[in-house]
Amino acid sequence: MNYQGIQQLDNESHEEIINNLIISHGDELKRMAFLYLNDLAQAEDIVQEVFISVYKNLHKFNHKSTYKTWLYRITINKCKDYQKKWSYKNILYRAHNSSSNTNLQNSVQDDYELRQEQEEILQAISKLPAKYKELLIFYYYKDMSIKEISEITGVKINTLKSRITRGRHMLKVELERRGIQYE
Amino acid sequence: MNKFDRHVKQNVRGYLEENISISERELSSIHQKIQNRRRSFNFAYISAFTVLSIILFISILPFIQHKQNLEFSPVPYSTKHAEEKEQPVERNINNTEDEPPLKEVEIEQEEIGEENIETEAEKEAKFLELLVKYNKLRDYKIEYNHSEVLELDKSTGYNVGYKIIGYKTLQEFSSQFSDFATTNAVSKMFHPLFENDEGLYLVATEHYRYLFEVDENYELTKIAENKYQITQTTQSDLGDHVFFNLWFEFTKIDGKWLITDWDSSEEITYEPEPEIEPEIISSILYTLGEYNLMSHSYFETSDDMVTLKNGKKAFKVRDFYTEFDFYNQFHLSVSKDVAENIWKEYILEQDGEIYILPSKYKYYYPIFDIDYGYEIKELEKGKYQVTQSYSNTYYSEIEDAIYNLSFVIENINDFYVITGFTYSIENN
Repeated sequence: MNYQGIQQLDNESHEEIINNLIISHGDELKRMAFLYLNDLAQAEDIVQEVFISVYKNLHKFNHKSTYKTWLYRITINKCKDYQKKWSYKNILYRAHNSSSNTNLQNSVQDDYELRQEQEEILQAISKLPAKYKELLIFYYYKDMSIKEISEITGVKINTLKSRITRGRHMLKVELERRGIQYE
Repeated sequence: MNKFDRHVKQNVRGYLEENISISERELSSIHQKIQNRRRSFNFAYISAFTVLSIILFISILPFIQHKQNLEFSPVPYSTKHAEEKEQPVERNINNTEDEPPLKEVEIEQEEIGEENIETEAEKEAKFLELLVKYNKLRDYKIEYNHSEVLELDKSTGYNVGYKIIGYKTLQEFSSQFSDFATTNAVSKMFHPLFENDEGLYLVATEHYRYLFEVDENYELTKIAENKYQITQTTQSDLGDHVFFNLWFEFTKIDGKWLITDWDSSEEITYEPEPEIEPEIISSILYTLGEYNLMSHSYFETSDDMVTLKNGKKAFKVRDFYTEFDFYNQFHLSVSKDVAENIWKEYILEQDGEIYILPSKYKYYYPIFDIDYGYEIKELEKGKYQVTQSYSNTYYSEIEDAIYNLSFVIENINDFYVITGFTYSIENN
């Protein structure tokens, strides 16, 4: 959706806005949450929470950021909050096992190896420490500029660059440990 | 972006786009929850309104009764007869000593206007009036034609522009705002607009316009006799760390104040930088990665166990013949002394050969696990301490065991080497 579209929404009802935001950003938010948590069921819950939170706070939104960046920030914060919960490790273990029996793996692709490799990468990313993980999600999945990432996360550009470098290094080590090498 | 990045990106996107999307069920669930919230809000609102109305009615009831008494009518809840009650005091509506009649003020203002003297306060009020008009731009809808698309040069950073209906030039477009801003200011406020021989185009991008917060602090500065500027810094929706700076220039042109220039910028405040250089941290993490690989990558053993003189069974270690050589093989990452402490309970030297004893958990030592976070501090120049605590029941017979690891890592000839290592296991 372009900005004109969003702008026109200003005068519409909150529900219209939410509906349009779900259509335009719902998928990518769910993907970000999944990449962060590697847990499909939890990613669904996070996205629901995000939109309900947006609905509750829409009257406070002053258009001093784009809807997109606002949604990204809420999503990442929700994921962080979730991971801070003491029960996270147990839930992750259970949910991950259970999610492996869901439609993700049932929709078996011809290229099973590719699927395995993709899953290893996603798992490796989701296991990175939070401060690296959120940056790598924006970097790899959203293809965002350093400045945009800096705005959303509040991490200074130089720190951000070094964290991305360090995060990449960690990811590389972790992938090598899992038998995946690209260089 | 290198080969590694490209592969990761491709795989991440491929997987997510193929497998993860919002389902109809989720959509309806979100809508359902929002509906429920709205219904409960409405119910709460109506209930609260009803209760408040009742309270208000009860609280004003005595006044109503009082008023009735003043009208000399006996009321049920009063013990006094109406005539005994206090008489109402008539308000002196002509008492206007502190407030001059409105008409006089208007006359004064008209006289000032006639003399054409504008006070600073009046100018400021005028600027705020212009800024209120500026704020209304947010609700302004540009009509554009979806079918007339202009492919923009990629170097501009934008892809396409849509042709604006009704205006061919920026000048024409800005004329509708001429009561409060000049073309120059309008062109900046509506950036990015593109004008060419065919017409005026709106660039497709999600864009937000900065609002001037009338109720927030701002700074008014006089630049010249007929030129002023207002600056304001306010917080973003993104949180405490992003601030917006707005800048307006006002100039009196042909006796009329207009916004003649406009600018905006963002200011981001950050946490303090980490004290240790990122490159050093990378090197230290690399060393810890090597430490983790000590039992996997550095040596090979015989496939079958042999029986030693003491009757124990062990694997023969290939290519190492003394304990010293075995412990020293890790020296670029782990010092010989640390390696010896880790390995000595498993290693035996016999007849010029090295043997490694089998272990319940196969050459167990606690690994450094990046999943659990860590703390790193500089003890002295070139010497660092890395600590980590995590819960791991896999290797331990203690349920909910907490592992506390502490590494001392020193820069030795540009190699970061573990020169000290201790760990403890405690019950959670």
